[in-house]
Amino acid sequence: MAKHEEINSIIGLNASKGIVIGTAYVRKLNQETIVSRTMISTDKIEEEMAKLRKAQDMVTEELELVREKIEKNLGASYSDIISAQLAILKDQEVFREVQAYIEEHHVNVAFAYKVVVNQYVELLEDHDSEYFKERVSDIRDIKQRVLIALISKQTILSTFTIDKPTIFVSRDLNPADIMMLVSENVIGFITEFGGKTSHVAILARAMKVPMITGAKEALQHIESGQTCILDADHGKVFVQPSQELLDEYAREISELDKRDKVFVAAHDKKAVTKDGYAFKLGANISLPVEIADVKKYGGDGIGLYRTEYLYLMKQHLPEEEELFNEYRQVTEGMQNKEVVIRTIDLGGDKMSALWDQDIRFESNPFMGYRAIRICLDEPAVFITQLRAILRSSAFGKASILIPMITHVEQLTESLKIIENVKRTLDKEKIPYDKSIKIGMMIETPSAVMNIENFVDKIDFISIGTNDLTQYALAVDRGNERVADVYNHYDPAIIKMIKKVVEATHQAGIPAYVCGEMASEYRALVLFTAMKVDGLSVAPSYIGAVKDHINTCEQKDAEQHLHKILKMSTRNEIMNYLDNLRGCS
Amino acid sequence: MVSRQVTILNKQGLHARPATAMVNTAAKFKSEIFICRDEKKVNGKSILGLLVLAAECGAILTIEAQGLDENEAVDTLVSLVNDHFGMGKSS
Repeated sequence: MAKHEEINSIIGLNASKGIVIGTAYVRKLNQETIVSRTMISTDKIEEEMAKLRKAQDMVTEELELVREKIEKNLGASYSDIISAQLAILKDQEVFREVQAYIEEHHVNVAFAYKVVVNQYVELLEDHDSEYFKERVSDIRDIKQRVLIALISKQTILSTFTIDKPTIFVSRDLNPADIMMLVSENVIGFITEFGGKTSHVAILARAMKVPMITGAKEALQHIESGQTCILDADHGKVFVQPSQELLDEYAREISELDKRDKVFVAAHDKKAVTKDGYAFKLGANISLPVEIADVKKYGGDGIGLYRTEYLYLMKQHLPEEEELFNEYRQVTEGMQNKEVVIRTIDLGGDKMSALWDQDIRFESNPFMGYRAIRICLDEPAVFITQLRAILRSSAFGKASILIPMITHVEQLTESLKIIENVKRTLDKEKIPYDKSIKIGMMIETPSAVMNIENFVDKIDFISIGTNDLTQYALAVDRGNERVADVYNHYDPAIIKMIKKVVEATHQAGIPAYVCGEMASEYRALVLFTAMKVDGLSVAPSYIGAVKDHINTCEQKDAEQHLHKILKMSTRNEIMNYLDNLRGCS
Repeated sequence: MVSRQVTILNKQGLHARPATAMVNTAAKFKSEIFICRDEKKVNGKSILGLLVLAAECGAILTIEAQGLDENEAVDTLVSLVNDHFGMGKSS
């Protein structure tokens, strides 16, 4: 659809795709709540303290509600952030200090509470440790909630009644906000801060709520009550759009809904070409809650289960039991369809707060401490995750996928560790799938060039086209200034993928593709021609990808590839692919 | 008054989750409980107090209790710390 250039548009990053029209609610909460100071006579002190107790009760009730929602939607292991907030809320020392402050200064309780909590905030902000500094945001959050309850006698949620579809605009968001708001008629999020891969973005995607992050000055440009179009697909927000644009978007939304219904109805269609070449079409997920969608659209399994979320979300390294419960939900839930579990791919743009500051803020993170490099450096972390994956394999069909391998030693070392973990489980008589398959991601040029020496040691490979493109073209995919350099239709990338698939097939094992490319029409003809064995895409793309593959002829695709391989530029290749109708 | 020294064994230090466990355990006792690190002394029943100590892995803390159940309180809290706050030895 051709988009009008509107004056009132804001640009951000598409953290979670989708298009919605709604009324804006702007939360200007992160600015300090203004608390006036009033004098209180001695006989009113008890009354003031009763107000604080009442406010604490209100906020407790609100947080318990959030906890309930998180546990229902994500599982119990995600709610300990709320437990910590509740403990801060109920801190009896704070309560005692507030009382002492009022007794000494004869001031109102809101003022006293703010002074007391701010003292703790200052103490914590002084710490060298990044971890303790980050707790400051939890404390501030509680402080705001209590102050709002004290001043307006309402909780944050009830300070606005959401009676119509709302687009929530704020400086930033935490996971608890999202969980609370999505069940309250909030249909989209716009934040000024945050990236595409933050844990909040992962959560928004899992909950299927469109979200734009990094929308600079959104708070200045949008006012509560204004109508907005949130087009997260294109990373755009239109504030007070023209009727014409509204109509255009309303039509597009209804078209998309219709298409979606068709895909759901056709969920048992297969990803097979006209002449009978069948792909295994799996889904990429980050959270167990997403398997409902995979089933809805008829995915053949989970082609890529990203496991970073628990590590990003938690305030401690996840324990084996937490990981196991999480993975088991997926392996069991998918009922013997394959679930490819990728071991942690932390690092790059997804570094957990659990590591030290000097690790988190590397000058060149994509080249730095990342994925398997972390796991081999901290085997205890790796072993904990491997035990959980292996244990979950007893409840379904799991396989292990190792990311970011650059050289053979890393692979053999990883395989040795997996073997040792299996042996320990044997000794402990803990069940697991003894024939569990082990694969590696192909996402570095060195793995491509040396592919023969990897494929003889594993059961499958999965090509991560996003990282492969980034590393092969030496381009940071998050940097807008070089965005035009990043292009996976470059002849170099296509030749690399072809080389990998051929070598993999020669070794007699399957080759999968799980990057963004797997869901692009242009690329499907290439994968069909190469006879890639499986593709893995976001759950909501499953239907569209199947539809497209159904129009392809494998034999024709081979002809196209033959021509494409002779082309010398990416533009030539893209033009050629664009001119193909369907796949043939 | 009873007091005893402990060392924080959790890799991540006395962060929000173990601090919550400590506060919840301390709250079960009638005695007054204090946790000291160097010259800082905080209420053992206050999570904000514990966080302010910023006790990383290897930090040495003194647990003090005064009251009717002071012995039991210190025993219980010391074992909680030594047990990695029930979070498993790898944490």
